[in-house]
Amino acid sequence: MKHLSDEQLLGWLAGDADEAAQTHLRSCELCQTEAIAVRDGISRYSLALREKATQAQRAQMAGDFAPRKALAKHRLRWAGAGALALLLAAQTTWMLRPRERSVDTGAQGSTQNYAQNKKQGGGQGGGQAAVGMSDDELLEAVNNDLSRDVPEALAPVSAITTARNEMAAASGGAIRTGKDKLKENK
Amino acid sequence: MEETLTVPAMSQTGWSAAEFDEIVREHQAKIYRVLWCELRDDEAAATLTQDCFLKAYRGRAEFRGEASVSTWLVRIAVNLARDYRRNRRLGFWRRMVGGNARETELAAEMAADSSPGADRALLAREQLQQTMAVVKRLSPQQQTVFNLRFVEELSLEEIAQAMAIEIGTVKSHLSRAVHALRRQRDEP
Repeated sequence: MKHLSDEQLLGWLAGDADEAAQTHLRSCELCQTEAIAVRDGISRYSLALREKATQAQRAQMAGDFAPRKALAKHRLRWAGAGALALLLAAQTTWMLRPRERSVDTGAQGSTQNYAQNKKQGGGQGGGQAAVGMSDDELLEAVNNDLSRDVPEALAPVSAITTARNEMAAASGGAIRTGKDKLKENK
Repeated sequence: MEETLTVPAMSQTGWSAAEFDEIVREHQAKIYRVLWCELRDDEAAATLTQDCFLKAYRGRAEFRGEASVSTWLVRIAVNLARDYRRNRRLGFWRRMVGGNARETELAAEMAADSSPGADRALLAREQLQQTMAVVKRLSPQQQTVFNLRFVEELSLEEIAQAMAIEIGTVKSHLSRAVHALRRQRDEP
């Protein structure tokens, strides 16, 4: 008696066994048991693999969404980080604003100094301090410049001379210089 | 003017993006399964599934409709898996450290999961373990043919097309697998 060949068993597993194979399987208990065992083994293998693959795919898909879950989980941390960022931005703005103020203040101060200097006939570098001047202040400074008796570079000397003359007038005569003393001695 | 330029371009490149999206949705699970059965690696299967569709999209102009879309995608997937295995073969330490352990663990899980009932559990587990052991001893190409035939239930022609081999070779591989299963059963 010739049992089923591998090819015949393969055909039977695929559902297209030839007539001879089917007849043999009906009569041969050994081949029948063997064929059923092979079929069951393959069937379990196939099902198990399919199931595991599906599970793995689901797990992978769930894993793909994990970052979103993690984001949701760490929402508080993200909120904290956002608040910190806002704080830093506010601090930066605050640090910038005082500098602008100081520039303004400096400009105003310089303008005032400039104006004062101009009034006093001084004011080195007053031209730089003209930045941020109001129209009135600028006009006043220009008027001062125009009404000045001596050039700006000689203003300190002029101030000293004026002060000396004022002191001399107060003491009842002009202050004598070294040259005047020599003339008197002669 | 635009139509005359667009229509030939579309016919040359194959599917539109929307059509390809539909193909991805339809075949994604199957391609993942094919790759997972080939590699038994969740992450690799996921990555290669993406690679498979990317490759298919880039090479969609080459699809001539000689085989079905499914078979064409399986072919790309099988080639990707083969290349991946080839590269992984170089990772000696990885294989030494984790490969066999993972296989054993997986086999145990699968055997445990597939128990249909308490009385038939032992028999079912034995059958599954025997089949797994036999398949593991087959060559990589025989394993692929076996999985495509019995897990994916592809026809012999589809397997031949997917693996670019003759139908006779497919039959030969399957016969060897069945022979090994029969012999395994005869062993004590």
